Amino acid sequence: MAVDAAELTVARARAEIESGALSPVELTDAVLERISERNHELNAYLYVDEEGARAQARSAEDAGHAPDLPLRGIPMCVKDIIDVADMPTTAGADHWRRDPATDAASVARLRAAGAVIVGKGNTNEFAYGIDGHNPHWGDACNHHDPERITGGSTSGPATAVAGGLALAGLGTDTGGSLRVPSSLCGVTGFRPSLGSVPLGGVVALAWSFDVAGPIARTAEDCAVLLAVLQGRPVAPPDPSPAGLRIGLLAELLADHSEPHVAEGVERAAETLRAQGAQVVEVRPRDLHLAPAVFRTIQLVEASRAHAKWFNRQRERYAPRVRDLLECGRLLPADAYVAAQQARRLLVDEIADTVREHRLDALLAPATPVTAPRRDAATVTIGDREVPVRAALLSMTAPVSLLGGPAAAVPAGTHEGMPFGAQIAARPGAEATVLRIATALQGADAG
Amino acid sequence: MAEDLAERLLFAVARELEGERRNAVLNLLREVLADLEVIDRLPLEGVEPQAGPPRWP
Repeated sequence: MAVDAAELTVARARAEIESGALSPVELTDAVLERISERNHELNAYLYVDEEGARAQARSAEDAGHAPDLPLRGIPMCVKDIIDVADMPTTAGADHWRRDPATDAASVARLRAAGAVIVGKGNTNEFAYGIDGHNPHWGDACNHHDPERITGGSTSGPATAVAGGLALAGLGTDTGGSLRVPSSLCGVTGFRPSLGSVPLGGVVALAWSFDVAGPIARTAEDCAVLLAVLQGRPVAPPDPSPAGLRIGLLAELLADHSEPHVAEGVERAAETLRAQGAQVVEVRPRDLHLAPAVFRTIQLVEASRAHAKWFNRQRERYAPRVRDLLECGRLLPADAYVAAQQARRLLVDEIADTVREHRLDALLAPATPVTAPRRDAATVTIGDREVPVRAALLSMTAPVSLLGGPAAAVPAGTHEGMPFGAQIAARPGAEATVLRIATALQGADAG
Repeated sequence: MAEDLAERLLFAVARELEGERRNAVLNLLREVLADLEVIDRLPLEGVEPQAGPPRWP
């Protein structure tokens, strides 16, 4: 059969593979063909292992009917700060490399479930950025318009999934690195609860916030990938949000998002109400302080994570990353501890809001804008010019403080460019986030 | 904290860096110092720092 890798979801591919209508080798060949057609334009992959991918696909084919392998034959793109055996890890840098003999713990789980690891996806250098720019290997470009950014730092896997160069991706998220590129590329990204997916074999950025998680075309696909990554049995998400109470973070809508984004998220709220959920506006105190708290902690932790390499070769880092690391190493312990105190305060305030309103989840934009042009330094939000990086982090970094799961799901398009809604919940409430995300996408598909 | 810190940090940058990098880091530091001022205004007396994943009450 002719395979269109750009149209397939993981769920559909799995069903066709299990029924015998699609072979893992055909599917991997179709993805490799898409890569040869489009990777020069999108720069999604920094490294492709064609031979290895075909060998994995043949093994998946040889396994025959295997319902216990939920990802059998599914081609995946892994962000290049995560180790894959026998592929280089460069972290998007040109001066740093390791050649791991073993998979990162998360990759090992995907592979054990039958996934085919095709190659390594583009990233901001050391995942330290939110725009998808990479001065060493070139920017990843947005599938919907290559003149626009993908968002980052999981830039390559996001545009690969959007463009059919993979059916799913594995990335990391510190302040929004799964959710922001998912929003700007029109796919679904899932940030798991802190500590729920093993981080062995992943280049650290900021321990207080780092997680590894999936990107796919649908929430249903993310549910499968997430279960595998968390070492749980795969169970389809409940597709109905009926009975849930959801808090709409009003402060992040009105003055902080473009009108089309705010309208899209309000439409999402209406969709959920129509399906039986209650959506109420909430305004947690001090939420606007979250980006300052996030940045202070990240600066210090990243500086520490890089201390050994930075002292040896600081001049070889990308200028922006170098400046951030220089800045972080100057900050005193007092500032770091104060920021962690402030984090505790903000988490408690948001938890109080959730308790007071008896909420199951929170709803907000995933990004305040659609993808800016690649040469843009600022975006316009209302009557304000905001630096691109600050704007892109403004919706997701506050949620990273909370420690719970969060997803970005497509919520609309503006002038052909997608944007996403963000759903967040208390630590461990992955099923609730998936339930809401699935409800939104089910309504959209209908 | 912020005033004393600002002085020390800006001095350190001026001593350790030069040219384009110095200006870039100085600009970044000014933003970070503004962040620290914001944090400093919060009622943090007696608040235990977050260590590890947050446990919601």
